[in-house]
Amino acid sequence: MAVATAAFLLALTLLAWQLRAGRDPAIGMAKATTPAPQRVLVRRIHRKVIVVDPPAATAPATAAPARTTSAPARTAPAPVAVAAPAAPAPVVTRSS
Amino acid sequence: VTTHPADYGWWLASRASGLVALALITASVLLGLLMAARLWRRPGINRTLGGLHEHLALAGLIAIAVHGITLLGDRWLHPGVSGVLIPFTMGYQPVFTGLGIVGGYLAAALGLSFYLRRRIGAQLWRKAHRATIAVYVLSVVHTVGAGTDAGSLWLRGFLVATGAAVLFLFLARTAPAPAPPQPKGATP
Repeated sequence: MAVATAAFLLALTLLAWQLRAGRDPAIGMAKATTPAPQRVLVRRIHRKVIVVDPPAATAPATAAPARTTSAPARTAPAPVAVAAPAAPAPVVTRSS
Repeated sequence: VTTHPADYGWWLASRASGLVALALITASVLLGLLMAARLWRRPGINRTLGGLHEHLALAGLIAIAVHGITLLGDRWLHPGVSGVLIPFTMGYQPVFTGLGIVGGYLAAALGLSFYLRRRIGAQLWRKAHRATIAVYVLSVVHTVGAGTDAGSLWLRGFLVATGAAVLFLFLARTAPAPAPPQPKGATP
């Protein structure tokens, strides 16, 4: 009976030491399995936008309609609206 | 979650007594099987081993009782009296804890029946006592299924080593005895 009591005290001491050291199968494991903060993946997007403006001299913005000053005649040409050339689309390059 | 042992005193005491109970039951069963195998033929050895077997069994019963009583104080599991006494009613691992409780009752019944063997008859008692191996099996199943330390390497090593010894002795005990040699000239 004395041996059993000694074994009990020894086991109790060892289990307490194990718990204190943070290596208990239940308590220690509960700490270890605490979910770690999730890593947030930061994605940097470098967006480079190059806008190529056409030179102002070569690209008339809007042409005024040509009108005749004479009395309107039936044969007078209809106002001619010269559409401005479309500005070139900006070149967009994207890199991520 | 703290790691101060004082916060888990009852739980640690229950675990420690459970481990001691397992060790004592294993030792008692091993010794009983060794005695049944009659490996030692010295006069008086069986009386000595029998006394040790009895002491181990009684200490094992006390350890089982301490295992259950100390669990009552655990404030995390708080199984309650019914959870400790009535099999399969505990919230934690009801099957494996229930098998452990059944094993405890069986150990008490079979172990204490030794003191009633004159009343119930030595032959009947001997037959019933052979069922003690079930106590060992139930205690191992309970330990593996519900024990906190079941995953520990040292406990697994203990269970494998002692389990192999118990299995070997049990098979040797239950194996049919070899037929006596036939006398010369005898015809079948």
